[in-house]
Amino acid sequence: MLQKKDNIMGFCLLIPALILVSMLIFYPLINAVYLSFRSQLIYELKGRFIGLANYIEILQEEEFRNALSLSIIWTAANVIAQVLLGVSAALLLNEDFKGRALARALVLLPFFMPTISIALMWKWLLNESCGIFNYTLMQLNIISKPISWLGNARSALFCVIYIGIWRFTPFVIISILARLQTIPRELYEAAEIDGASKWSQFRYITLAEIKGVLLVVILLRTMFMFKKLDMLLILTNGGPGTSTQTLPVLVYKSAFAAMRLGKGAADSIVILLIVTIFVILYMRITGKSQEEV
Amino acid sequence: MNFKKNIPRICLYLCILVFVLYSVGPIIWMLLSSLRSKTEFFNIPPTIFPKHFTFINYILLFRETNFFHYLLNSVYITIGAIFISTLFSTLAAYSLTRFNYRGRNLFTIFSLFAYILPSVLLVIPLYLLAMKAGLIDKLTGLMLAYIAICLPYCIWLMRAFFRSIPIEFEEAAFVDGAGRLRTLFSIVIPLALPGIISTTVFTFTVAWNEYLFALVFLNSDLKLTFPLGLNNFVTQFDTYWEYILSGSIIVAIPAVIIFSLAQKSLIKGWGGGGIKG
Repeated sequence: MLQKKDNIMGFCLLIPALILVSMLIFYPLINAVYLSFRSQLIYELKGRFIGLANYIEILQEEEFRNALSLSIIWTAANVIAQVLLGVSAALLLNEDFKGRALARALVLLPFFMPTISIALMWKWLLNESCGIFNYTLMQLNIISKPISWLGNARSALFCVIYIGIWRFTPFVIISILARLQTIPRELYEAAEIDGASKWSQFRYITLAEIKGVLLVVILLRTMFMFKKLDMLLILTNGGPGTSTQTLPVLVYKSAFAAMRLGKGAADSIVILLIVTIFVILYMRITGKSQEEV
Repeated sequence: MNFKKNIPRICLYLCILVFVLYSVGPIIWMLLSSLRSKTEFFNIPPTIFPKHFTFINYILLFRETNFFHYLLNSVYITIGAIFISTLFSTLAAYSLTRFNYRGRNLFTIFSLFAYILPSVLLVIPLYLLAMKAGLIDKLTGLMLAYIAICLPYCIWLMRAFFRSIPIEFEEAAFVDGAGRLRTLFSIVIPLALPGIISTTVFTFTVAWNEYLFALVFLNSDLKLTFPLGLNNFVTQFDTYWEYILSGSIIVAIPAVIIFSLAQKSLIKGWGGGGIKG
């Protein structure tokens, strides 16, 4: 049924998408690599070739090392906490109880709200002069005077991580809960009859069943958190100082605050390389489970 | 009543209650705050429930600021991005799953790779491109950027859906003498509706939330989308909490409604479906 003429028509259906993807993704990607070998300021029409100078600068500068270690802390803390909290919450929400549908809907809200709403909301809650957070802590005599939580180098990183966990845990909950619901009840009943303890039921049935999804979720969360930029820009803009300046924030600052597009491009290529490692892992794992299914 | 027997039950309810409060407590506090007058914001001690419920902040937001403009800009860009990326990705995915030509697989793999690309990498070259094309500070430029971000994943999603639709339906239509395009629009697209819902929700999420590209592309106040508009209520001298809180609630309403309606097909898209590729 599939003839040559037909295939030409089929290719025509791809053309609109092909043009947009080539122009707006493929070409920019190549251009980013090209830019990373050049020095170009934002108001210049043309830059000049400087070879590996941008990359050598990256290897030598303190700012990049700081950003890289902040990125690792930010990503690791977020992913670990989101997974632990998300799996626990999914297990709770998988139990039978009154009001389950409502509880499930409510816990997803942080993830469904627009980024700007939740970022500004947390600024309001943590606000120095009238935030509920400071007020409560002062009432409980934990602190004696209001703290500027996001304006203080020591607490800012802790706060943005807490907000990241609060916002993105629902992603883990949805994914794990969807999988938990497909585990047949008979498995637990059989284990019960065999006299298996609750713990070994969890260990050998629940955990074994969700292992595949869990791995994918961990990888996805790691990639997403590593790339995360908008929330940090709104909450702290990398500050105070450079205390929350992760790699993506550094790219933004290099390119659009310091106006060095070439340096920014080089920074972003490093991010791409790191993310690519996780992509390859992801493809391996999903490819494997595809064979198993 | 056996109290001891009920202890695990009570613990369960308690844990769930704590977790629900942890999740929605901040949002409820924001909602309650937005419903009090500005003078009540700084009351010490803060009143949990506003003394006088009032919509004054919401009214002033629309009367005194350009918020309505920001909202319209966002709606325009979001609808445009949804329409184009859904249409193009549907056509492309149909082409990729039903026809045979060289480079098909390469394009598919590149689509997945493109989805993972950090947007911060694309923003620099796309900014230069928009400069050359005269699309800086234009809503169309921003819409194009959002389509670029969304299209690869939409293609990937639609491709998975088309693959799950048995080809026999189309063959039956062929036998009845329907042409390729007619089969596509009358048989395949109705069957792929869950996929189309997924791409719509995905594109909506990106376009409705996006901050970085808007920040880099837009300059003039009347062109801003709401994430920038709302953030601009934090000024060097004063923070207009009354506008920020009420505006944040308003823009959250469509997002929460759309997510709640589409939850099921969404989970398929990134939970189970994502694993099966």
